[in-house]
Amino acid sequence: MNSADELFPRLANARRTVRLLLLAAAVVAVSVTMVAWIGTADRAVPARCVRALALSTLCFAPAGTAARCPAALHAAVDLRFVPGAPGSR
Amino acid sequence: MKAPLGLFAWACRQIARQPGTALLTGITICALVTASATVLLLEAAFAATARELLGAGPSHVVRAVDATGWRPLIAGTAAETARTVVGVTAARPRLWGVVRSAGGAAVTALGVVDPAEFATLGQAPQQGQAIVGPGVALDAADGAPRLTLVAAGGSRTFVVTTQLDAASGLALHDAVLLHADDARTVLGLGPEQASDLAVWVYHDAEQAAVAQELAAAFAGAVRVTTRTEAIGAAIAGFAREGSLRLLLLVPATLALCLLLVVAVRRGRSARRELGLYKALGWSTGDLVRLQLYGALAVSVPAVLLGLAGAGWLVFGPARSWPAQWLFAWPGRAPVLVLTPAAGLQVAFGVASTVLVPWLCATLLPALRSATVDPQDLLRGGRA
Repeated sequence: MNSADELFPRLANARRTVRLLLLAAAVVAVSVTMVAWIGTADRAVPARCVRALALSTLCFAPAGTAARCPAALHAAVDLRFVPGAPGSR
Repeated sequence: MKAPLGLFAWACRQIARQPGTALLTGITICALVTASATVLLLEAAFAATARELLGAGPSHVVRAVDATGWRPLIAGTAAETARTVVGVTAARPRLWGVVRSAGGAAVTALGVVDPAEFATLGQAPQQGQAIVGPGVALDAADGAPRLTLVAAGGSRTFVVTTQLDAASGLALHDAVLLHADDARTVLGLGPEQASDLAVWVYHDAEQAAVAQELAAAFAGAVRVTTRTEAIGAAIAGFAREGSLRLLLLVPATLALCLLLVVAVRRGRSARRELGLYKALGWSTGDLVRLQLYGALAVSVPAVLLGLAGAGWLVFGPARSWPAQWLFAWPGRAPVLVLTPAAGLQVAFGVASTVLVPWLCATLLPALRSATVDPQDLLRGGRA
């Protein structure tokens, strides 16, 4: 009796469950990889924008915050801080 | 020595005897891996995305400065000056600044300086027209979509010809693209002025040397920012949120410690069972492998599912939660299409960090029982 099924016939369900879990995990992992691969085309769009407009910062943080462009808050251009300008603070 | 498949089946049978315990252990490991891997993947993906995208931008940005801060450049003169520096292949003035829309939101106004270069994205805006990013809220009005910007000389209203889709959000989420003359008007710049100067060099390795040459070439004081510095600033913006990583990793570490304690205690309580197996003729090797298969049957699917969940959270489609969560966008946050970098390193790192201690804690009782008399184990003696 070398076969595990012959030795442990009642364990078939448990083995099947574990195999299904492993298969599900593999399917999810492959799906994520596929999504990342499919997103390659989407990643080309911001790269074209950066090239066309010569951008040196990305939109991780909102405009006008130090996290967006810490060294470039331009007193002469950032009109929110110009005294007397409409809408300035 | 038992057949591996037979031992694996026996291990599955042991798990099936306590399905609730195995399920809870699996959920805990899965949640632990998901939390840890999400934070680490986000950090790696932010850095890789910044490197990839900003690598397509200028290698230097030159800004004129004085005692009060930044000041505009004379566009033509500055570009000619930069081109005289050896190693510089191109120089283009930029028009940009932060302004408010009529709704009060801060947006980045960008002037299209080079319509030919812009043609890769579409038709450049004409005077009175604007192309807006996906996160810009338009004026609430009937008819043609419009956007009002609070300009230096009063409010200016533009006809919005295009609102870019979410795919461009990483670069232009809150940007308003205007004709160069409109941009100068909105930003309060003179006809020949520019906000700063973008410069490209032939060899990226010469960035630092060219930066010094550029600074020396200009008559007034300038600040030159290299691409490397810009990428570093983008990455540092995320690194500043290090407290968030601690918030997740500290409880994750505690959860791992609790898991190990539970595994060790459960192993001690199973000494009698190990003694029974040894009395029935199982070798120590068989017992170690039985414990190993049992631990792997629970932890491997949990780790894989946890890693897949983390990957889905970070790299899945239409993910705007990282920007909302980390940078507190006031309105709609940009969809971050991040570069899937360092995924394997993070996966192996997190998996080994969780699996190695977990397997050690599970195998310890079987290893300690190697030299103990089965009768002692059956009587409940120390293994």
